Amino acid sequence: MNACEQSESKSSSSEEKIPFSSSRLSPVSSCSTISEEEIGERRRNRRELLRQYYSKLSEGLETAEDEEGAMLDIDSPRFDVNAFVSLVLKQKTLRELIKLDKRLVSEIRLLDEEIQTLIYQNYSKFLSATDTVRQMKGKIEHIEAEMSRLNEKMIAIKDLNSKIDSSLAENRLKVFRLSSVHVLLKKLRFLFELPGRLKKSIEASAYRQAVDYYCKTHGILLRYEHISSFSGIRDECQALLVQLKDALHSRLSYEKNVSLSQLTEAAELLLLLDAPPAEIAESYLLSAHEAISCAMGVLESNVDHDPHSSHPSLEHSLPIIIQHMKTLLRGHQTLFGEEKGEQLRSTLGRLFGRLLSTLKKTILCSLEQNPPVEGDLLIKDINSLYVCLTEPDVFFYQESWVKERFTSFVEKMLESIIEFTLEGILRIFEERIMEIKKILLDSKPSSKPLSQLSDDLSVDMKALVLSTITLLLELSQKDNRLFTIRKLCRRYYKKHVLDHFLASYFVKTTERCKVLAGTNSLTVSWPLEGSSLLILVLAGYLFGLEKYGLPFLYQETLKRISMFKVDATGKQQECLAIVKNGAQELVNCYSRIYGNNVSALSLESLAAADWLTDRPPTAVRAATKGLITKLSNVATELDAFFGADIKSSLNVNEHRTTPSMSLTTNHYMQNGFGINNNFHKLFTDRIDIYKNVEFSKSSIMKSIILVYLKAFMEEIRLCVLSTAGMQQVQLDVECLRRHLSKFFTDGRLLNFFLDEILDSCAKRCLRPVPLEKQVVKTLLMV
Amino acid sequence: MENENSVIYGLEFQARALAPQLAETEKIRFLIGTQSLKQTTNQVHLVEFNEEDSTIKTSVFNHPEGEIWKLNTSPLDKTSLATCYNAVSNDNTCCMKTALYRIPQTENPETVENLSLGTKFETDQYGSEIKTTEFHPTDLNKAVTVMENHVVFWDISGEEAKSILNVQLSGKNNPKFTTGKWNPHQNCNQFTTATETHLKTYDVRSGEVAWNIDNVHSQLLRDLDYNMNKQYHIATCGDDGLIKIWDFRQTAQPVYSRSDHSHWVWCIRFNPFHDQLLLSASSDARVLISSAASVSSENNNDVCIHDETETKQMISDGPLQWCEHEDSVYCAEWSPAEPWIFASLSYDGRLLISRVKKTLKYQIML
Repeated sequence: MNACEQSESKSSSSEEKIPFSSSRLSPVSSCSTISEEEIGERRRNRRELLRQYYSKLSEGLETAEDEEGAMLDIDSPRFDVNAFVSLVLKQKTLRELIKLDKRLVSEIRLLDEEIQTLIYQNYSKFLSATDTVRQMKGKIEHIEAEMSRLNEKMIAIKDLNSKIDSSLAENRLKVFRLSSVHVLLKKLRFLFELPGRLKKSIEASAYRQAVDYYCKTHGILLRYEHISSFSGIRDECQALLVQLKDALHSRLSYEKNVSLSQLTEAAELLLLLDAPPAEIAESYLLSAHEAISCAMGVLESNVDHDPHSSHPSLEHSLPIIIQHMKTLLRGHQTLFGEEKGEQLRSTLGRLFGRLLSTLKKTILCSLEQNPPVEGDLLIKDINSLYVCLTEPDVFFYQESWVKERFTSFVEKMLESIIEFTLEGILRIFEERIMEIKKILLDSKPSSKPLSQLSDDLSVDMKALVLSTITLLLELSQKDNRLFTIRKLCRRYYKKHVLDHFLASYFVKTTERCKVLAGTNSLTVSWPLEGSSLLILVLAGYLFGLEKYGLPFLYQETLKRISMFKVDATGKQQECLAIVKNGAQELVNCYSRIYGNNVSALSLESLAAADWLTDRPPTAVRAATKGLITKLSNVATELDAFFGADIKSSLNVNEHRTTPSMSLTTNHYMQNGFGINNNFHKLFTDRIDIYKNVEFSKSSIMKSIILVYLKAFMEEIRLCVLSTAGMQQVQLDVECLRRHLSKFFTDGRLLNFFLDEILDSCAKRCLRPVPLEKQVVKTLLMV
Repeated sequence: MENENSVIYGLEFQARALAPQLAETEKIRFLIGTQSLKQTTNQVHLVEFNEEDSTIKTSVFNHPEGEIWKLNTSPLDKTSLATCYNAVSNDNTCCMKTALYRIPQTENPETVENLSLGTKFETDQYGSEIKTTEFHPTDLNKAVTVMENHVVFWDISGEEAKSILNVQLSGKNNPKFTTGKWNPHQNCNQFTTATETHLKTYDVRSGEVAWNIDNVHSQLLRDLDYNMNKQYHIATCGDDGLIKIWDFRQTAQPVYSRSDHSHWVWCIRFNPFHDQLLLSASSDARVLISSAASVSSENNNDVCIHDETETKQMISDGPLQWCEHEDSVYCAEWSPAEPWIFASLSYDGRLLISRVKKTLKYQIML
């Protein structure tokens, strides 16, 4: 704020413009006269251009410009009044100068006012400041003297202090010496007492204390070995140390009644006494193994003596043994790290294996007990084992091998449990079937159809299986920790209960059915009676299982374990197919056994007959009649199974009219050989003789009859017949036609086969002359 | 399944005797014998199949002695054949006989010549039911006839066959032989017979039973065949509708068993060249080629070290190709000249000569 210099700038004239850096003195440019308006305009332009030029130039020549600018800048300290005035006078017009003057005057006035207020404001401060300065001037003179006095006193104090120090030094040294002697003496005393202490400690089995003493003194004794008394102590100590080591070693090399923690301590102390860790680790492992197996041995002998699950001794020993094993693992790891790690693992593995096998034994024994032990009792031990393993900490369980072995063990045990349960159910199943067999053999005609037996069996078995499944599932829902392992639980449901138990149940019952029905032994002797009905009952059971039982049981089971979204469709379909095939096999077996038996009988009689006889037939052969009786017996048996009422209702649509004989009797004569017959066949559907039979009376019956008729035809084709022989066959065939048609809803099939027989028969006849239909009729009446 | 490959040759008569001309290895030739009770009308048809243009050339010979039940050809002599026939006398009694015939060299295809009689067999003393007369596989002068309960070995060098050895089957219920076959292995010293449900093999040097398998089938054993390429394997078929292959060193279980037919199986044949192909004929009116690759000589995985080059996929066991007839088929035979041709004869007198499907053929060959 260079207000004082501004008064000079009043002298002003108008000339060329100058860039004013001061903000307040902004350049003023306006034309002086109106006539000069145009010129003014031009000047402005020129000025503008110049300004641009200078502003550009100023960038390049800054210092020169600065210098010049500073001289013309009112606020600058290098402001040159003369230069400014002359410049202004040169450049400005008069009017501009007047304007500039006015402005400068007003600004100067403003600045004066500002200075004035500033001075007023700070005036009192100035005053007090001058006062203070004046006072200080007065006081400073005293300070110097005070300081020098202080200095003197300080020196005196220093002297005094050193005097006291030197006078006391002697005593202090003495005290020092005395106290160090005291300490030394104390140490020495300790050293002298050391053998005794060691001895006492060893005697008191306070081995840790002893080792502690030894470790503390070991260095000193070693240092002062050259002094005879010390070496004496040292020797004594060494001797005791040997004793101590021996004691520890002997403790380590397993004495009876040594706890595992004592073992661990011994190992630790020996390590402190610089024993070779490998050796220690080995004997530590050995002894620990010994200790644990001792406990195990007790358990084993107890269990062997009376093996059953949740044995009290198990309950007692299990936590202890597991605790031991945990101690061993932890002790070994902290003491030896990975030294002999392999051996540690194998030792623990062996022990754990023993424990598991003991558990297994108890569980298996309990399973075999009669009546079988409840499932939750069985897994109680496994559960408590799991609890022992995982509580209070899981470090042992987290050893990968422990986890692995435990899981596989649980797996196996669950498998066994399921297996035994399944066996039990199958046993019951078999017993039921034996009962049924007995009922069938007694075979008193009852009002109820025997298929009721299948239904009863189905219902009973279904209930039994369902209740068993409920039990098996409850196993996991009871309060036990084992099944808190979600993975295990899920696996248990899916693999064991669903896939193993349920699926095996279906597969195995199917198998048992087949075995019991005797489908495996293909040669079933003729009097089937009871056992043939049994086949039907079993087939009925399996068909029922396929239709209702299996889907129901799957559905129920899945419903119970719906919390795990288990998909069993594949397995279910598989089982369904197996059951269905089994059922089908049984029915096929039934009809084939009968079919083959009937045909075998027929073939026998055919072979025995004299077909070249001259005697014309007088009656239907006894054998054929016998066959018809046999077939009706089969029908009766089927009635007994399926129920006669059902049969009659089934056969309402069957037209029982005997097929018109006139059409068929002379049929084959007109055909002769060859073409006609073949045409006839061309338009007939293929008939499979051995095919799947439906589980219904009519289908089974039909199948049996067809097997028989086909065999009959094949056998006739191997014969040579006389006229009379052929007529005999004709008579037999017509008899069959009459009696068998009731088993066919559609007579065509039967007639087709019978005509085939007649046809074949005619071809195998030396002189085929059939009987008149009237004669046949009459003879049939006989 | 596929009949486009087949050529049909229809006979006027019923027939149940078919035999390949075994000694003929150039041309595809089969012989059929008719079965008609009219004495004069029985014939033997020699059917030659021309593979190139799928045509059939036939020569017919009369067999006036009776209806032919079984026909066999010599594996060594093209002209020689044996028939088992039923001769009906004028008084309406009939009796089974067997004889060797020679096929005459026909110059004139128009006239039907009689077969010329080669060797006569005197069989009356052994029984009336003659099942088959089988030529010795390597000895021109030997043959064997299977009868009711006798197996008679003959010297057939002369006009009258001379019995060399006679084996009699005895037992309760009068057991009878069904059929018999030479074992082509082991110097042809064994002859295997089928009786009821059992296989019985005799050593022809001693007449003793060499080995037997009981209960080969649950019902009557109908036919058997030796695998030319695997000396211990024998195929059987029977009334239980099953086809089985047995290794007669281990007789407890068959090594192969299938039940693809829906009635009795009357005939079974190994393909002589590719023994994984099994031909069977059944009275369900079907002929079936099944694969028995798992027990064939091609399946030698267990014998030799697996070769890099032998990565050929084995055909799985089971039915491969069906041939449908209208009546029961009692015979089916492979051609000895061409491994992919087989003939089957149904009771209505229709002969089908068929080829193995091309895809199957390439699958086996490549």
